[in-house]
Amino acid sequence: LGTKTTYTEAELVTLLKQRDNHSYTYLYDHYSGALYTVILQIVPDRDIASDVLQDVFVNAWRRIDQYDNSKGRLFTWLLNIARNAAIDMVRSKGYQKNQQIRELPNDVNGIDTGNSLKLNIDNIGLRKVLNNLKEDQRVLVDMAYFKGYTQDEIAKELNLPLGTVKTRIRTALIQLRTYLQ
Amino acid sequence: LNISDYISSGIIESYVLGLADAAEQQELEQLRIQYPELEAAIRAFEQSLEQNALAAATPPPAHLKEKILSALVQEAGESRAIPLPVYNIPPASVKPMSWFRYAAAASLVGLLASAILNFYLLNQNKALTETQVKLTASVEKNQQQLADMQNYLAMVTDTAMYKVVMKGLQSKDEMATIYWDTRTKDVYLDVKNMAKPADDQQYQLWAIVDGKPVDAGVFELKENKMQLSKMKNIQRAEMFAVTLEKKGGSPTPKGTMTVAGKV
Repeated sequence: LGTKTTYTEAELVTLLKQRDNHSYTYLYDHYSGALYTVILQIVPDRDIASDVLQDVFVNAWRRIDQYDNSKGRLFTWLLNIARNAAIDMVRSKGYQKNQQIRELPNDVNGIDTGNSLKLNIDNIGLRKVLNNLKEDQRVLVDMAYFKGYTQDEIAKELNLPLGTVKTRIRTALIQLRTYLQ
Repeated sequence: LNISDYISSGIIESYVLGLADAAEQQELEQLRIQYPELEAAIRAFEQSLEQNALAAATPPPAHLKEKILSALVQEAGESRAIPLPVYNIPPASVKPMSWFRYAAAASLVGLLASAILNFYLLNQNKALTETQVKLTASVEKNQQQLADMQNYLAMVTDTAMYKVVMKGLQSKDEMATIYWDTRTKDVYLDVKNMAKPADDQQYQLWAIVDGKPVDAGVFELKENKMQLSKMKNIQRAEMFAVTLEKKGGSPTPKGTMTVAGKV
């Protein structure tokens, strides 16, 4: 009753900061799908990705007072929370142990049950945009954005000079803007 | 620093996607305040990123919505429960008392506890009301600033706005810019830097039409740099200039010309 179906971003942020329930329902309806895609692109398992999505909303609730519109749009802020939460999940000990157990039967049977889902996810959103890049650039952006490696770590991992890594990532990011439009 | 090179260097994408390091973030956050075109480019990239992500949405499992929203309700409950102070009163060694003494002592303790609690709650209520008034005021102020900033950005990035830069004639530091709407011929003035006039004086804008000055209105200096002054509608002009006149303006320019720029 009395809930609005659309908000301007400023209105929405004010309500979110007041911890208004309807505004969080709106936030969920509006952004959960977009955030879920990004999480799945980092954490392919649907159940674990769902847990991460919950963490993202709980974190947004707890940290909404720190959100500062002058530093970016609300979605950009949520996207960064989602990306960080997903990368943290992949790096957690529990997740790594679980993955080893999961991978065994797949190797034996030669069937990857998550495969059809994974393929879909790999060809939409930012991943799709990345697929337009040259292979050597794509690998770097993938490591930086979806795996959360620092440029130093990438240089060491791929045995490339740090300067080369930096230049290639920058060149790739410049093209990203064109592909997104 | 060449700002258009900076804008196309990939730093915007790197910042928005969370890949920029602390030094890069800090640099960008300073520069975006100084350069409206950088601010506009950042906002534009964020917008296209958001549109792309919304178009690629994957609906989460249906049951998840209720689960997540009830997790938030639980968060709300936890943050609202304010723990009351606990007083540890050491048991005193007392001699056996009659039931009357017990009752009197108990009611005194009860009265004291209630007074303490009332006092505590009253203070808390006062503090909360004060905080709420302060917060509401600050939200309103922020919203106004945000609205001003959004208007300002919309104005300076609108390609139908013709821009005339007026440079200082007395001092190089003084500067103001005209945004002239090519559709409606409305004139907006953006004062970058001008000295505060004396109390009995006011700045007045002039449009020079066929060599003659036409009054385009007087204006005050704004406290917020992102607030523009709407001036009189000017159909055509070959030049704009500002003079310092007596308060309320003058039918023809008499005072010193401070800034001017050709169309």
